[in-house]
Amino acid sequence: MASKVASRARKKDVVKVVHGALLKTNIKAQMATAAPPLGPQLGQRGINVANFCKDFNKETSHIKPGTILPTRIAIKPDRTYDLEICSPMSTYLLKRAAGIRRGGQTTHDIAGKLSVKHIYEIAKIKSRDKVLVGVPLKDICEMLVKTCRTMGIQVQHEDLDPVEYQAFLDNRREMVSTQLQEWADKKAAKMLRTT
Amino acid sequence: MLASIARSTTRLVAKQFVLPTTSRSYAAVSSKVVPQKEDKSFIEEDAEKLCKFVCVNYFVEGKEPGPEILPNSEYPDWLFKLDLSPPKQLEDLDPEVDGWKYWEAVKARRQQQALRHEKLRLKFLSLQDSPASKKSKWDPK
Repeated sequence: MASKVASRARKKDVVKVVHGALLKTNIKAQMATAAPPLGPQLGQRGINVANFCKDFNKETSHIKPGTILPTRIAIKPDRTYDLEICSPMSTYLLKRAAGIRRGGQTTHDIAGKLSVKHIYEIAKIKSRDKVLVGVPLKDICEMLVKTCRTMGIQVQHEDLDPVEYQAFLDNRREMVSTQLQEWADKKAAKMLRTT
Repeated sequence: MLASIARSTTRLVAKQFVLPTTSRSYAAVSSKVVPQKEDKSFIEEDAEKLCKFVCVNYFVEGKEPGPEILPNSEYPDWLFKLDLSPPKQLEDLDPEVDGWKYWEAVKARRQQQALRHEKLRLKFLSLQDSPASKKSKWDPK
């Protein structure tokens, strides 16, 4: 007991972390704030957070608010920065195209369906990225198909059938709501437990 | 056939490590999976629209709801020959046909086996043949 008290009184050595010059994050369009996690990330690298948020929100004023945008911030030694805003996050675009809010939760969970034509259009949007300059559209499509597989979105060569897909979506929505309800109940039960 | 594959792979891969197995165990879904908060942005849920358009327009003044889906003739041929199959297992790969991907798969398989071996070794540590666990026959008297 005495040793525990003594160890708590000892001061922990504060290690100053030196961050690299590049910051890679996802920021929602028009919704940059000084709140964590963005605020501390910028503050630790010496950037004026309020200025950055104003700048970012102005740059994304033509994009729908809430769109998740990967951004690359190159920080120069004199505390100024170069802001590079890329095309929206692939998973975000795929989920919107498939009409779902949440991807698959387990390995064999099918959350949504898309056709290769959807993938093609989304690949055209992604190809405007600076990183993907010169990459053939076919390779971008293959990358998106890989992302779909990890997310639980099934891709098919044929066009989607509206009637079938509506039935699938309704079914899926029901499953998701019951699952969320179950988890909420479990959490509530855990909170109320006194043992 | 499985015996021949076993023989060929054991020749190419470090001995006592790779046994071509098709059984895979899946990690159980952790009870710590937290449900995400409901996203308040609008998502198109009408299947008719989803099948006719790609509802990915993220601009404020863009064409609602997004690019239209055109008949097959408007798209390049390679699109309908895209490989949508799941990634092939090591047993289906061939060094001549797939080249470096085969060796990547071999490396991954080796790492999985080593990890499994290490876990089992620690789990059954008491059963491992170690001199420390044997009772010494030396009598100090």
